[in-house]
Amino acid sequence: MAKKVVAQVKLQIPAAHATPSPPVGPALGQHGVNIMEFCKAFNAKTQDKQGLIIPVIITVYQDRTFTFITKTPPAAVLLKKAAGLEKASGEPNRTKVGKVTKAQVREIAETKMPDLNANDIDMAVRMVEGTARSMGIIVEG
Amino acid sequence: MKPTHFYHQVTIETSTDVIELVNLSLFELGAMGLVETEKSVTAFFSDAFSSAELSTSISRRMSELQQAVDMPFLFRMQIEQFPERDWNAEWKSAWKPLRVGHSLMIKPSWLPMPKDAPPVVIEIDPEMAFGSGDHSTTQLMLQMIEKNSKSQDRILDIGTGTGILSIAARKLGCGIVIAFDVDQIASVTCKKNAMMNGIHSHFHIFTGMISALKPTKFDLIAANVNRFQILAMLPQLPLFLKDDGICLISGILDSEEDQIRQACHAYGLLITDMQKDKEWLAFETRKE
Repeated sequence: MAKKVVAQVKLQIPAAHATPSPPVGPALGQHGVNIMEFCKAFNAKTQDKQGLIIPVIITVYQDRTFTFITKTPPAAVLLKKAAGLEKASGEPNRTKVGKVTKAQVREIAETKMPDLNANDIDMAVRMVEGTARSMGIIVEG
Repeated sequence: MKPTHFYHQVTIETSTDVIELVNLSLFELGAMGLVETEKSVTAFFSDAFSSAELSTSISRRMSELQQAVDMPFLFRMQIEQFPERDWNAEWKSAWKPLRVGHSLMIKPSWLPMPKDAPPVVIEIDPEMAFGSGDHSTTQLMLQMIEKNSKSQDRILDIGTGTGILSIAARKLGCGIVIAFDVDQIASVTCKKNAMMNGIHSHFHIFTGMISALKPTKFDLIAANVNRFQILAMLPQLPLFLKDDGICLISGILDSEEDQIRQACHAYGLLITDMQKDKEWLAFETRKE
């Protein structure tokens, strides 16, 4: 059918836990999008990623129907998971709170490649290492 | 669990260089989720926090972050409160039954049947497939189907979306319907809507393209897609049309009129009517 985009909404929400509460309800409600339908579809699509934060881009069309795509979780979220952390360091230069291996960093970089502004995997690895340093996470090996 | 009576909406303007770490910090501080725009990020917190607590903890976390990344970055914060609302109920209340043409009405399934309902009521819930009935091209096509369809006509619905055009055709008395869409979500939604409207018999739906169709002729073809798809399919459309059949085409912007007219003529389709709503056009065509 003919489609004309009227809005794109970018959200970050916990995987499998979208509800009509904020941010989903007000963000989609103002564009006339079926809130419950989005929640059902998002939760079904992300149920295997429980515990992660998922960026999602919702495209709204002129007749108030919609589509959405999910992105890979932010590198910071993947680093926290890899290091088994509850919270990043408040003083990353002085207080180190966790460790990840180079292999783990590379795996995160590979996961993130489709969404990163990186020319190659080595550049993506350096970006993830920079994020790890800012969180007080040591990259070993 | 304590009921939430209001939410804090925390809007932060910051540098794109640190946005990922700012977002992570907001989640670590208890944000329920974020909305990102080009210039800012808005986080939502429950009223388990006070405004003062939130302001202090976010400001502290941002200054830690400034030290962590070893560079100053833009940080402006605004905290507002708003009461809890039933956004889903508000969304539903915004939908009203919609009259189209002389005998058609479209309504979502949650609304009761109006007392003054016309003979043909189509139930469509606006979801992820296109074709809620709210769009000009859908309405133009529905009017053209109402004008041109005859009892027991064989219908081909190209780019069916929700299936709204096929459902209307069947409810107007048409016979066999074949509907397809390249989008699998659309074909699943179309099947569901056909069931909901009680017209799933003689209604064949598949995910794919026109090339998957077996050679057969239709009385009425409805193609509400877009210019690129119309131009790509035009050479094949007359092959599926009976000699006295009608092919309805929409998804055309008024700026595209000349191009589609020329293409129709090139492939032997005569334009016998054109309807317009806002910037959208629909063509009724017949074999030359």
